[in-house]
Amino acid sequence: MPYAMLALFGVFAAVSIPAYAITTAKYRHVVLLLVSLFCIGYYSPYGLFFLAITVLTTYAAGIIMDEITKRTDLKGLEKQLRKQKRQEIKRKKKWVVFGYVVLNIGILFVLKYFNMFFSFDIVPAAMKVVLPLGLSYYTLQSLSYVIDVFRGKYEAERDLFKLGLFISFFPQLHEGPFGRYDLLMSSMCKNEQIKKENVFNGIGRVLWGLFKIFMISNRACMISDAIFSEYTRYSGWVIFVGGIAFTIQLYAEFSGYIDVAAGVSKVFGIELTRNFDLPFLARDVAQFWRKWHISLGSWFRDYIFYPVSTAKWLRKLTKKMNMAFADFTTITISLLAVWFLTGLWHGASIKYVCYGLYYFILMMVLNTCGPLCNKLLVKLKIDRENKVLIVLQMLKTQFFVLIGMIMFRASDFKMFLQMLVNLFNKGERFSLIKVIETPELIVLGLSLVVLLLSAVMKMKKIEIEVMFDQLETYQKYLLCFAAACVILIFGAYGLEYLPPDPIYGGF
Amino acid sequence: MNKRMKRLSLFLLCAVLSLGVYLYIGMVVTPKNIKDSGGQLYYRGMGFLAEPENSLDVMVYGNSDVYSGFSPAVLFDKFGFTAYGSGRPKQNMNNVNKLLQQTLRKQQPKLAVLETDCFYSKSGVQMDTSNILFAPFVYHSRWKELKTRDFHDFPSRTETVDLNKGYIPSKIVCEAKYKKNYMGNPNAKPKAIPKENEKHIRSFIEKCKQENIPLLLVELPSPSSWNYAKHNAVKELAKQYDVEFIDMNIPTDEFCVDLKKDFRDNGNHMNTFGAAKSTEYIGQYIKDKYSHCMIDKRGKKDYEAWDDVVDYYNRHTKL
Repeated sequence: MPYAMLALFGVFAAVSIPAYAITTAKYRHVVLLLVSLFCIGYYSPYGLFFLAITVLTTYAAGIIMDEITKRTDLKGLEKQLRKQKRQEIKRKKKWVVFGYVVLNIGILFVLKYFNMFFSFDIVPAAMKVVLPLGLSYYTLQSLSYVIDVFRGKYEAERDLFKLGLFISFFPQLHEGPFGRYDLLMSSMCKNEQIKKENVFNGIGRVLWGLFKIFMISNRACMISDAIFSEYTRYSGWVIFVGGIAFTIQLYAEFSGYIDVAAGVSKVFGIELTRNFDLPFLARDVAQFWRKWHISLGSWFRDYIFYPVSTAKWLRKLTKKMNMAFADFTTITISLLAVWFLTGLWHGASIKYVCYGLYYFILMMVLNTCGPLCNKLLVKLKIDRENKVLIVLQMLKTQFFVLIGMIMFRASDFKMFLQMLVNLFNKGERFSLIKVIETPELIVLGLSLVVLLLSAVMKMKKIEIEVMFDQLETYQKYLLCFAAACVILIFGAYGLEYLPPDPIYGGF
Repeated sequence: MNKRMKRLSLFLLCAVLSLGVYLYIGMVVTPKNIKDSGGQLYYRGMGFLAEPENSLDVMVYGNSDVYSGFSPAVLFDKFGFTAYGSGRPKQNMNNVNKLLQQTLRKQQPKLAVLETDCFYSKSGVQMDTSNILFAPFVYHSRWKELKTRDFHDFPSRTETVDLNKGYIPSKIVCEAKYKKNYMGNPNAKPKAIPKENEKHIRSFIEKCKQENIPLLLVELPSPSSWNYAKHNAVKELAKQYDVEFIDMNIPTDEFCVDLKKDFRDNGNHMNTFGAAKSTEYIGQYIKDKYSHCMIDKRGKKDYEAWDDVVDYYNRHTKL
């Protein structure tokens, strides 16, 4: 059901908008919660059961941690005693987080990973058919809330419905982005009435997302599928063309779905976290991951990298080392944890773990060689902001990203290795026209030009959304209608087009 | 007030303009010919609308089994009966009823044949691919092949003659990997026909009776979807309504399906070879049982066009 989620978004948004509008401000978030629950239940009824466990345990964990803190009176205690009490509070809270993590990551592990890890089945067949919608997204999102409450970043949410909405808000369940409680809740709790400008802005964003999915991604998919399915026949530059086509497909599809989610949320006045920021302009792989799937990267930074790098056991381990080596060891171990888990999050297979470790190696090389390169540039008197240098750095980054993408797209690690070997072999002649018709290729080219123009405008700090918002209502309407017609006619969907499955939908 | 009126007029103007543009897009992209992309989908099952009035002897209704397994050209060539196969993919009984209603506006068939596989199709509303409101979504991929006529001609089912008469030939041979006795236990408990479908079947039977059209229930060979449980249920229903039922999955002296040669997709749909065999069998059955109302029309002046149908079949389809 490749487009089922888009259709589901459309139907549920259409139903929830009038329901939301006629409800008093106090209960609007309840409307959104009910719609979200219905959406999850419609997709997989037993998903509601697991969602309920996550919501209730998240709620309970937050409250318990809050109560532990509040019930301990530190006033009037001596400094030493106060410190002891604080440590006791922390220890108790740690147990709560531990229990929470075991239960919720356990559910995620059993439902998502167990069958991939082990050949024998313990998960009932019925459960394997459809994983609960957004399982890994909402699990990590609620985990971030519990850890933040543990860290005392904010107080626990006392309204179960609000917390339930934060965890299950339907537009972000399919492909994210991961929201942070403090940011997302502030716009969710506004309970804003539906506004004309938000509606048009949201529709515009949805159309932009659909444009990327149907005009670009689905067509780039024709090229990448043709090359990757016949990878043994092709070599050299053809493999690169396949990799580039897949990179375009993945970016357009993933950012497109995020735009649709952001657009639907915007109608309700809710701002979702930004997930992409011109990733192909990154000058190194670290920057790339700060611009690509930003919410995932920042999640791993805040909840894996920082805790590991500041962990007691790591400090003990590096205590006797000299400063530079201690730093190196700390960063290595923290990055290893981050990238191993990033790979695992994408799927429990050797391929994905290697994908994560590939970036770990690149990061380590970058951390080690980066300062040396900078020193060399200074010595050679080359300005770091030199445009030629920037372009070369971008190309270098995209080359490594491309290799990563080929690994990501290959069905297994063996296939990836074979494709790498094929890079240097002689393969069959490849004709682009044979895998994608000329008119389709022209539409793909023109659509990419539009995408590129939007990127250039963004670079030049021209805010397209602001420009759009300033238009007259009828102008907005006509623009949206025209865009909808273009996607309707020229979109690659329906008859004659094989629908690709959403790549990040399965994660 | 003036401002409000202005807003309202602008809103109405936008709405009318959008609707107009949308409908025009629908008209432009809808196939104008059966050979256009999507033409098979648009005209499939509905080609009887372009047939001369009261010219069809047999109307066959059902799902994809009908357009794969019943060839009107073979029926005319061997027996001289004119027929149309009104089959569409995953067609449910609700749609079959609608097709019957549409048929009766222009045709008075001597026999209605209902393929029983769709008795178990999911009921409910299916996207009507003939509705202009869905046309932009369904046929938009025609943008690549649009010609000038597409921008001013209305699609018309009453003018587009289907030389295959609803049949979609396939020369692919794919062995059906099923046991010879794929029907299972002959005493299997009848598999209940969904209530909603049964309601529509009853309505179909009653309409045929009302119009004095004899009805024949047929199950074309389909190892992937048919078994004795379904057979027994349809047999009971046929008995209940006093309707003839032939199940071509049960081997007889006259007809036995060849699992190696007769299918194109592992026993789901028949190929040209299987379709020719099954049509001949049905034709013989019709000739034997309904001779009182059937006339051999081969060589008759009014039916010369059917010679072209046979000729077209022989040139393009025959193995």
